[in-house]
Amino acid sequence: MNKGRPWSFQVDTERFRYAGYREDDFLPAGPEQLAAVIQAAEPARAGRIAGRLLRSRQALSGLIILGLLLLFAVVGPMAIPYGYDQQIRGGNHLRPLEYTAAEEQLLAAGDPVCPHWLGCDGLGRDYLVRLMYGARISLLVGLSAALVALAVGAAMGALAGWLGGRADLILMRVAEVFSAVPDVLVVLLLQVSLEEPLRQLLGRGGSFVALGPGLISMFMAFALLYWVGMARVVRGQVLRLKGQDFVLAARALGGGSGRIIRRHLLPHCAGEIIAVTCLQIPGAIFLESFLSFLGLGVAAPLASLGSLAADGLGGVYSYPDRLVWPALLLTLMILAFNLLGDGLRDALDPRTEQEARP
Amino acid sequence: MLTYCLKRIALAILTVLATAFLTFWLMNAVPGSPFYSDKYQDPQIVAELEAKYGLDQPLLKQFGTYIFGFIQGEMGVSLKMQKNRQVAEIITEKFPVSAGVGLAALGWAMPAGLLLGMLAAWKRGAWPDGLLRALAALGVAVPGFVLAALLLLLFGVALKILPTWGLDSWRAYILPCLALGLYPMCYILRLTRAAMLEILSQEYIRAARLRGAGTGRLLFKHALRGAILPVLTYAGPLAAYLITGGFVVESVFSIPGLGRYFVQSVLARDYPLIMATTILLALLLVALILLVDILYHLVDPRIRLAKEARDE
Repeated sequence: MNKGRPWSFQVDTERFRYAGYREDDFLPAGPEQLAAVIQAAEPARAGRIAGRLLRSRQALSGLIILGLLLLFAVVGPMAIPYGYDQQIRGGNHLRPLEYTAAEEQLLAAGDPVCPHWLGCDGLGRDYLVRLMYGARISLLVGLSAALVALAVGAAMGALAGWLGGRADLILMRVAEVFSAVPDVLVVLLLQVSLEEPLRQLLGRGGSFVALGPGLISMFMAFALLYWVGMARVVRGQVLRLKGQDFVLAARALGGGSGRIIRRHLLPHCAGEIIAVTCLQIPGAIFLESFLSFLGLGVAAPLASLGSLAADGLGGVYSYPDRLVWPALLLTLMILAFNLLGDGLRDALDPRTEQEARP
Repeated sequence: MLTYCLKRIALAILTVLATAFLTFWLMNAVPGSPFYSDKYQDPQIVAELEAKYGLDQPLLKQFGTYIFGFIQGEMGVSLKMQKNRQVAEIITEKFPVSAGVGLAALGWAMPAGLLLGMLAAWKRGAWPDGLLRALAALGVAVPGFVLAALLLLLFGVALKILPTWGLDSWRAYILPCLALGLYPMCYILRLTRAAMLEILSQEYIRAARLRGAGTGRLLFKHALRGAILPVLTYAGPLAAYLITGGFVVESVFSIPGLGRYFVQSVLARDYPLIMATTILLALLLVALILLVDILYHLVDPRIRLAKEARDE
């Protein structure tokens, strides 16, 4: 559409002149016409997609694993009377299901003591609770980072696809530049330079500061680096969609660019966007675990699955279970998001139904 | 075609320059200096050292000097990691190590992913498909350092059949290459399977079968041509990242490669090293992306490159 003028949003009037019409012949639609058109176009897709999703074994198993993990991470710590940073006297490197001397005495006196199901770490902190908090942080990092990347990426991608031409070229080159900048550098920069401002902004204490500047700058770094993937997908979809007749119809009914992008193009890409987000969450979790491995991740007393695994790697010869547990949880978590993302993509792809084998 | 290539090369050079500038700005914006250490606490000394290496100049001027030097093959000297040694020398020492491991990993991951993906699509719904899909789902879900550590524990420590560090013999390559290549292999498997499924349902495949093409010819001649396109798109950037080395695998297996060295130099603020490595990666990246686009055209002549620059 309108190749000669890449900056123009106008409908290519050549087509209409050929049919005996001019652009001026089109009047904006009145409110009743608009209402009728919108009602006629209201899609009833959500229910069908949900049904297909639940029927897909893949997506369902992903959902179930995720639900269990959420339960473990959110409700779990309430069932255990230890804190994630509570050091239990004499509990250093406790083996699973062992008790400290003091706890043995309590038990002998008949008092109930909550067992350390997975033992304690080198500082005498209950390992199961740390795992639960670690899973919580990893989930939080994955979700929030992917959401930030979604917002930036969808906006940039839609803009590039819609504007086309030179704007598209420039935005996509910018995306290329961002994919070549080393991520460790970006995280390091944000972390070091944001530490002071963040502290002042949030005041001392508060739950947000507990996350530490490391985690917050990681969200921002993720937004800066990972919008590229989302932008590519959305841009491709918008390019494919913008030549279709419903866009022309929306334009003819008097919709502006912003409205068309928000109300018509982005909802059409919603499926792809959700699926890519589900697949980007594991990317964020990966990045977090990698950065924790480098020591750039969460602030000290708090743990993420990545930092737990990194700690476990240090003492892997004597305590291999401390690498295995976080690794297992990480793998499960990423697997669940992958399954869900794939299932969603299949459920949203109209071709899968015909393709399904008898 | 030629004008298109020239245009793309010009754009690629611009991209590399922009990346270089962004990195330059970023690393200078990080507070701290390569010279602050236990040895030099005195700001006076640090200022003098910065003046000696030209770090007191305005940022743009520094960048200009650096880029002109780079074009003439002058990459400066390391400020911290191996003090005053030529960066070019360090890179020519470290890069081949990483490239060797990366190429070996790519060398097994690409064909294995393609073949297994084709097998899964061909046997759709049967047990090989289920097995391969499970493998692929698991393979992309295991974090790199976990995989590396588990491989190390199993083959190096428990079974003691493979060396756990260095690159002295071909056997030492096995574990790092496995750890580096498993994720790409599984990803390629998934890509190939999805693309193959779509292609196998197309008319021209049925037509080829009706004309009596055997299974091998059908898969490798007719279907692979279409299925390889998404794999190529993925493989371009992948190759760039693999060749420049993975930090995790290199640190777990104690390989003196570029990936590990780069992260260390970022943490140490060794500016010239950071710049040289980043530019190397960016050059590789844009070159491979361009190469993939040209390969696209060779594999599927219907794709017109010049038009693609605008529309796709």
